[in-house]
Amino acid sequence: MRLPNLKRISRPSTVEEAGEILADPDRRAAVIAGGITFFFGANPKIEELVSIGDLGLDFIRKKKGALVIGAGTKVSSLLASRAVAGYAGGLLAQVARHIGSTLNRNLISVGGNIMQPFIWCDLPTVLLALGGTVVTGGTISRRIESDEFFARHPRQQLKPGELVVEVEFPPLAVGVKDAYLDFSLTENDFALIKIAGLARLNRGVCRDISLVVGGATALPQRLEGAERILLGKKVTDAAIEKAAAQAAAGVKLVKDIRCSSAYKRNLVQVLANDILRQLLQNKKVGR
Amino acid sequence: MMQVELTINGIRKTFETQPSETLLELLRRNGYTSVKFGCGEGACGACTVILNGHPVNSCLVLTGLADGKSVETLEGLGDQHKPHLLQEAFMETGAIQCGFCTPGMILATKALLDGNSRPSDEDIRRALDGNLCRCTGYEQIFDAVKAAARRLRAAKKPKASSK
Amino acid sequence: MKKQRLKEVSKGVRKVDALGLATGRALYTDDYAEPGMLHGKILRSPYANARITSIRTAKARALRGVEAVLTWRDLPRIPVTTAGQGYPEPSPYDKFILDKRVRFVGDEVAIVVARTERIAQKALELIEVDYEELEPVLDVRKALKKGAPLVHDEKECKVIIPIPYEPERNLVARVDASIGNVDKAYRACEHKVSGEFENHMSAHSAIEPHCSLSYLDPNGRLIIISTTQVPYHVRRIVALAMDIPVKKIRVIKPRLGGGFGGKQDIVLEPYVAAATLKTGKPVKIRMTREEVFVSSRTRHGMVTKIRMGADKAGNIKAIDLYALSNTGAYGNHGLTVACNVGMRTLVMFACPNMRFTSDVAYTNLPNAGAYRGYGGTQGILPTSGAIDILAEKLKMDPVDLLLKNIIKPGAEVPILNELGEGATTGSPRIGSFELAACLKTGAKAFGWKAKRRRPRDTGRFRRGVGMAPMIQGSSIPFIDMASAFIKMNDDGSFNLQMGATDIGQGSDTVLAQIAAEALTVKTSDIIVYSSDTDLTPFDVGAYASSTTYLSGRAVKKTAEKVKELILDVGAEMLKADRNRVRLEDGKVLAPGARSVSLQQVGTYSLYEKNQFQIAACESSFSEESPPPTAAHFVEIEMDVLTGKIRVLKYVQAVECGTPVNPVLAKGQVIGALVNGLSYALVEQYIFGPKGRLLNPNYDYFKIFCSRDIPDITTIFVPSYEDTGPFGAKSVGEVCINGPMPSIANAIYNAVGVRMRCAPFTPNRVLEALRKNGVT
Repeated sequence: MRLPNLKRISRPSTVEEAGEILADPDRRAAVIAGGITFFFGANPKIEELVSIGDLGLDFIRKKKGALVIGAGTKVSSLLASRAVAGYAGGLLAQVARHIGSTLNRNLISVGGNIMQPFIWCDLPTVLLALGGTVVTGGTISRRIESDEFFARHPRQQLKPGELVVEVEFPPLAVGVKDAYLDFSLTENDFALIKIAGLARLNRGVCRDISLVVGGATALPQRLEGAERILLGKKVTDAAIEKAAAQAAAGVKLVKDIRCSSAYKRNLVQVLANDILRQLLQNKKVGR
Repeated sequence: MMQVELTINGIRKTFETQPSETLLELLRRNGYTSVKFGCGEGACGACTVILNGHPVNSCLVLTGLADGKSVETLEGLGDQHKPHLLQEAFMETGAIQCGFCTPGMILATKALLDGNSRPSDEDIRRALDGNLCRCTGYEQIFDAVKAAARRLRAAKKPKASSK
Repeated sequence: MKKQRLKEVSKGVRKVDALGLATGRALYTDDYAEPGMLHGKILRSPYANARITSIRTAKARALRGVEAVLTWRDLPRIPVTTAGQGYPEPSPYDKFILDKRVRFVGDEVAIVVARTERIAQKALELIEVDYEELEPVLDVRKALKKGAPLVHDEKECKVIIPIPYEPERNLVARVDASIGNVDKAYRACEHKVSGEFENHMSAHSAIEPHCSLSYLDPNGRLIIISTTQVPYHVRRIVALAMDIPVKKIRVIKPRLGGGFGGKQDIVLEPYVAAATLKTGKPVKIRMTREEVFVSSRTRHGMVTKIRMGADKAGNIKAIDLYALSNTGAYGNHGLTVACNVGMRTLVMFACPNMRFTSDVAYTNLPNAGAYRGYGGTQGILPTSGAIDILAEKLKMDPVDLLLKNIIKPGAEVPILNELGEGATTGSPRIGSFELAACLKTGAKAFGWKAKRRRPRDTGRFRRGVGMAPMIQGSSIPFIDMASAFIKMNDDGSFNLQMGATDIGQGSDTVLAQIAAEALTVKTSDIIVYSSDTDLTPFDVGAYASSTTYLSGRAVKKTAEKVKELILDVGAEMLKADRNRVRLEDGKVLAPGARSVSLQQVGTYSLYEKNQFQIAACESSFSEESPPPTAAHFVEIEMDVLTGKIRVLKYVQAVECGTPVNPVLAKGQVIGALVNGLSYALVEQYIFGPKGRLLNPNYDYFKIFCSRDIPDITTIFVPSYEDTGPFGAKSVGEVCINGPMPSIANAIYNAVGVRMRCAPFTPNRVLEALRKNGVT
């Protein structure tokens, strides 16, 4: 029994109302969107779940080239959306296709996937790579840049009564390419390692680079060492190999019962190599 | 204790439930035994129902969040007297061995074909990737989906007029 | 080879239970409920090896809604085996339904029975147990060594037939079977290969979890509805365990959601029985998926060693196969699975010097039991690997090496006599055996020779091809028995009642087809009822690939008896010479173009004159176990940087005599193959250092989903088994044996690395590549 003390499911109609319930320490309430998260580990003290289903957070909007997605939007809606298909060459759609199974995607919400503490780390990886923004509401309303948001566990970021209401994927600057790769055991498995990346080349020199790995720990990690090796330098095979090696060496890993950390490090190196070749040399590697 | 209202296979009903009860538990104890318990964690798809038009794992849905929504189970699709042509297709191609994954497979198929009358092989595999089968190796299930798609298209075609 | 024109057999008729399954109206065990039914939950051990020094249930019993809590004190201390096998079982009686000792993480400790599942779950947490932790033995290689912790130190465990059993050193069974002089012959061989291999434990993962429900009928008999492949064995073993007479128990198997051997043991039945006998009320227990992974049954993991030698012409002169089998905490199926390692490998070869030896050991790990393939799956890995290695030494194609050395149809196979499942195996002669045709057909369809000629790839993605032969059996000679009862109705239809267990493979349908063929009616004229120990005559159950062959023989024999009675009545009705009437197309025909329909016969016999019920009950046991055979060919592509293997193409050529229902037969061999692929490539049990299973769920234990299925071609090669009903052999298991050895050989072909330890998951493959300097 995941929530043995659950007494109530509330369905407020405004974000403010939701925030009030969440902020009230006597009610011991938590946010629920699709509800998947609670099947994989829940605080047994929770007595109330606050649904975001009636808060009007199920939307996908274009905002000056950016993509703004409501926290209550289902991942399957991302796949059905033309706006998402057109964003960043379909990057977000590609990532969404790898999240869970067809059935799961009808329940998994964008907000839930951003906030969850589990190692499958799907949307957080690509949000961080793109430099997106998390927008909150409730008792506090603010914009939190992804670098800051994912520096700590998402739950530790939010104040009492504060909840994620939308996620903003920024427009890609001109000339920026993006890519996403992952590696899993079966086709519907959550990946051992996933990598999202952006890069901009100018006359063979790497002007912009963003490389983020997911699945190494519960939070997405920027592969800063690899980025530093490439930023502002001429792109060569040797530079890419060096960056990929640095990515593997520098990545923090938590224990994953499915394989050794050494193997995961190897995957980081291989995928980093592959994604950099794709971004910087137009070479699509792998199957 | 709380109450929820669900429209199940077109009929609106009210149910007593608890906050922590899942849609799977509620359906099974109210006689919808075609909805199966396979894993309870959203991985096998034996508990698939169509919720507001979308196929989901009913073991992951809290009843409170399903309140006011429509639910389709296999019981609503056809019966022994008049099986639905989706069910006919599954019976023809060897897609049913033990039958335990079948309700989920048929509903996932229905959801696929409701939105896409000419699914490619890739579309079919994707639509069923949340429904595990250990008996058939899937091949005859793919055959059933293709057969069902053909039959549905044929059923929708206007009949040639006879002169 | 006599063939006749078949009308029902060899047709892909729709399953007799299809409508109920397709409409979701068919009932599985968990869909049943009895008025006043209670729910049971089992408390399971957190330790791999421990004594229970104290167990206090007062708090649990005091919880509102709890009806009873049972511990070892509440049950008679009677050792049983949970193995679903014929009596006397060749498995040790080493299981106490509840014990004051636990032997693996997940072993049963107590039973709670409550008004709802949630209350029962809560009550579990209130049971207080003190354990004295003991050192566990978790590695089968260590289990038989001196000083290893003992899994069974109780004095009551025993074997009931004279077979080797030494629990005082963790030895569950020992097999030693040989013909000729293997050591001498091997020494003299020009080409020798030897090697050690290992295959892993895995889960059946039937989508339906185990579930049992018991209640007392109005006359005080215990009725058990259960997800069982073996209703008659359940009846006998529950009677023994609960110390009540067999006649007091009735076992019913309703629709069942897949077994694959995992439901061939008496898993939950004694627990619901104990609870019902204690409370007087109906009790249902259904396993969670985690419990199915941990506490139902697994495949035996094994370490195998092989030596194989040939002369310079490629005649194999010596084969020496050894298996160290990990049977987990209890010995059910330990001996018999081990025997099958030898039986499903050595029997293929016309080699005069062969030996199979095996040690089966206890460990404090989950309970291994029957699993599709049943030793054949394990044995073919080293055997096919040795063939592959030997072929390379001989500069021969492994297919050609096999063709040169496998037995021919009708051959005598003396090693069979030595390898019986604890009893004589009967005639050491194989009837139909078309493995050669499978090899040739499969190789051709696959393009084997051309693909083998390809030079090795050198880049990141490297392709390779591999193949494997395989055989299984059709029931256990002299031990398995099947029977059927047929009665005729006034409309010319028939009731077919048989113990044979439909676990999803479609035996109700296949057996109805056989009856229909013999009675010259349509399958839809046969009304099937099966697997109810009160109403259907004896059958050992669905295992050993016995159903089509053996139950089929019983059904055919019964139908033929009924046919004789029909002809008697028909002759009487037509006033014709009994010797000159015949049954054809549902009519009794007499000379002069006179006939009566079966409906007329039925009505006459029940209502009109000299009335009697046309009915018969016949049985069958077999003196042989005709092997279905197959040859598998696989093409893989490996990413040498990650170790990931992709299957590009898979061809299987199978022969099983007459496929009674080609659609169902195809479903069996594809299903078995995919299970085998999943087993070889992605399935793994991951244990913690103290023996706890770390991945008892589908997130971390993967099986193939729809998107993992590669391009598979399935070919049925014609064959005909004289001793089988209408030429049929069974086919349910054999193809699960193919993928693991085929892929192992394909890996070698791709990168020159011989992977001997399954599964071939990416990290393990990469490790092997690194170790061998490939990357």
